[in-house]
Amino acid sequence: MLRNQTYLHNLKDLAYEPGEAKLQESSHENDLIFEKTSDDQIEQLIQQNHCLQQALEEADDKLKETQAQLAQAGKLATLGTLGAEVAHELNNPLTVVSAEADEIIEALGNGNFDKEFAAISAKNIKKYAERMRVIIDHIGRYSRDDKNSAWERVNINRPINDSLILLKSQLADSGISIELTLNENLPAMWGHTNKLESIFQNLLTNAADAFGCIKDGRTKKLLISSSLENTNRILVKIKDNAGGMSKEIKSNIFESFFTTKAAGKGTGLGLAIVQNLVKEHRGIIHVDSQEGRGTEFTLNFPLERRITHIEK
Amino acid sequence: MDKQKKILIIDDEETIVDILKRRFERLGFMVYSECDGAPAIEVLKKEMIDLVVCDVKMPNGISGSDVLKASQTYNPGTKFVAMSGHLNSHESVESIMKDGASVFIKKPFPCLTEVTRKIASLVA
Repeated sequence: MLRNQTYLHNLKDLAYEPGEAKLQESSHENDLIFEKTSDDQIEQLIQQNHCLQQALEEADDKLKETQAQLAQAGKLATLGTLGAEVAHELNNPLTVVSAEADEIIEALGNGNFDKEFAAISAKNIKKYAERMRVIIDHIGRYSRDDKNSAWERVNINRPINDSLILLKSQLADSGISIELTLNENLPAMWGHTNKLESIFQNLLTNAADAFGCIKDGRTKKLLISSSLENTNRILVKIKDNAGGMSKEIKSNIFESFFTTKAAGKGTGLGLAIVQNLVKEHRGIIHVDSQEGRGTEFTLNFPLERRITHIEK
Repeated sequence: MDKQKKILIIDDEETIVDILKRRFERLGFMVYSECDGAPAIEVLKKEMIDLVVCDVKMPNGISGSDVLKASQTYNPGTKFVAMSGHLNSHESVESIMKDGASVFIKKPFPCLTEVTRKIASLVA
């Protein structure tokens, strides 16, 4: 009886037509022979089902691996497009370091060395060298393969602020003002810093691109907020007042390779990656958009991990 | 210098403004400085500036080109030096030079002393 139940269950899973099996059963007059033949068939089907399950698991593993590779490729593509911005972010502090060093060299050369002025120059060199170190460290962490970094307790404000390090200049150059409302007393959530940063990097880059086609002179605003919901969830909202999107576009934005950007500009992977990364954090992503008025992404993460396998 | 020349320095990086300010003061200039395009334009409306040193790309919607236009409107004949640390700013550099900037200087400066002397020589 138990076996027959398994048999029927497996048949259902494999989308066999039960009618076919019954026809076969009714053609046997001897119950004993029927049972034996049926057992063989059941055994065979169990084997087939087992093989299919194994194949499905392997396919699922491969899919996860491909998704991870796509996420990495997407990150590097983002970093590539940010190259010029990164150079600018480094060129400004480098200008200070180089010019302050020139100040000291000249003062030493012409005998007008003033300790007070030299101290100001040296402090500036130190300060701006540190700024370059933070930027370089950030790029290193961002481009590194996520496999080598771990899940840990993360204050969500850190990846938000870090993702702005590279994008700040790009957003400012495009005339976009950023309003940050981060709750400084948020508890740390269970998460993966690099993956969280990828989420924000992608969403902020998209928002910056969305403002690219706004020519009506409106004040371009990007609002970013973090808050606590019901003591056990973290909410992050990213809201722009760019052009928004139609219902049709909105229904496709999380599809891989769907892009509304010009050829060569968008990979169509950004939001698909974002959705996967949010899911890895057992979070939810929601989008509200009004055509012509703007878009708001809401991310909702649990504070605690509930399923351990996401750590692997 | 017979009459003290007036220089206006604009860069969104405050320390770069401070360094250039120190240098040009030592070279005998009267220095005006701003970290944003809008107040710089206000200075150009009020003062007769001899030399403007301005970053090409700046935040808050006012670019170096906007400052150049204001300079040509309120201080015609003023020498304009454009600076930029952006790698992808060739287009803006070409455009600002075409619009009438006297010199373009790339950041970081190869040598602060040479750069400031070169800029000062424009109004010598």
